[in-house]
Amino acid sequence: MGKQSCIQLGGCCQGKKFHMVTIPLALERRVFGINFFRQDLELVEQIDRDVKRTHPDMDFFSGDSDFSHENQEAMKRALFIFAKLNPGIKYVQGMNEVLAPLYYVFKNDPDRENMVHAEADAFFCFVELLSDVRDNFCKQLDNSAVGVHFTMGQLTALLKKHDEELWRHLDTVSKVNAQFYAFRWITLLLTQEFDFPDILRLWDSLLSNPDGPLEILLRVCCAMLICVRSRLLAGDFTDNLKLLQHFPSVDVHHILKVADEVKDRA
Amino acid sequence: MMRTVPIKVVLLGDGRVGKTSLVLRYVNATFSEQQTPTIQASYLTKRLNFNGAMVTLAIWDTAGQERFHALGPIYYRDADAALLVYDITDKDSFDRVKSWVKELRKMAPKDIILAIAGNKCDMNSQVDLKDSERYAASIGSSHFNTSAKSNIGIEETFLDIARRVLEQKKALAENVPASTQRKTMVIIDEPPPPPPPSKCCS
Repeated sequence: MGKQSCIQLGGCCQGKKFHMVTIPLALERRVFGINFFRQDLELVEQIDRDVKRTHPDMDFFSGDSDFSHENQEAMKRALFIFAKLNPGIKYVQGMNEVLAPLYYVFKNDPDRENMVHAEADAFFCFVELLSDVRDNFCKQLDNSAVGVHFTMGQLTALLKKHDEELWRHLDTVSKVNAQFYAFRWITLLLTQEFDFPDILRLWDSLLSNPDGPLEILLRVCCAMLICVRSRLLAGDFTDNLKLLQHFPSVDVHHILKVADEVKDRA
Repeated sequence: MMRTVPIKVVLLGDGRVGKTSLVLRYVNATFSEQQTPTIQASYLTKRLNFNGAMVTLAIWDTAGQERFHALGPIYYRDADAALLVYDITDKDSFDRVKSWVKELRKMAPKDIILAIAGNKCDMNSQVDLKDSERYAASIGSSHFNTSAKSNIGIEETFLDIARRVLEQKKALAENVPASTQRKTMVIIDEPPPPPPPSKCCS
């Protein structure tokens, strides 16, 4: 691609630093018209600000080294291209969290030949994964049969089926609506609920499930509730909501075992 | 045992204006530059003793990005107060406050107490303070300049909310009009937008 035909979009929020996203200028002009520049700049800035806040405790994502910056740039490019390819969804906050485990795993491939393609591989897998779960990110689908409310309803139904006492306590006694805690569990595929190593372990199960990630995700969410059932049964609205919004550290292997039992009894 | 009065406060405002930082500063006395974006609404509580009355503030810190707005009503439909937050370095975020007020007028309880916080006041403002104060007064809201980073104005904001909610509850219990300020509230409707410039577009 010649230099003349490209534009590099730079976010100005970091002051001196520019964030490069290369767009074929002629193509964009033809397709999106003149307003695209402003919109894309906003998009780039939005992604930039969120990517920098991905796992703030991990140097890999949020450090200040060249290596961290390289990783941030790769993630920003992937999210930007996804947003451009999916104008109905664009970029939704939290997508960076979903991309993070994928990119991390590819980037840490011990085989250097694989590692150098981490960005492309992560992007490909991100698109694949989102094709299964992207409806949760789409506001227009919220109340449809594929939207996030429907999915949360499935979780509630699953819990009712496997632990009616706990379901009744949450639903009727402490009145903790699934939307208050499960919205994030489901849209972000549990990436904000556990430590990073645990996320990777959980995702191994999520992504290797022959029935797709959503089916096992719901069972894992149900298992999470069952794993803290005695505390939930003893708690009121405030106790339970705080517990579920800051899920305690529970052995993920145990959660996965309970999730398997949920399947067997299905 | 003294009775505790529950007060439900919902924080609304554009993404990245600092709602979460504001609440975390108030409730936990912490601040992080790298605050993770809020995806669903976080629930926090704070107990305070207000002139001898025990109050529990139940605070809903909502997600700001536009995609999450459809989830809003569940949090504010039975709220006692709404704290509308904008970023003083971002004029658009102040305009979002106005549209939140319109939405609350339609969806929230009629007597909901409103407060506006111009956050990040440790930085240079792009919003005219007089304008925002005038706007706040016009909708019967208080206005505070806050900074979660420098811990400015936050305590005052929540105390003001608690005070006004308590006054209103008391007035309601005594069956008198809530507060004169709200009785004489003037709703200034914005002028209709100018007609779009005549040009050929798709």
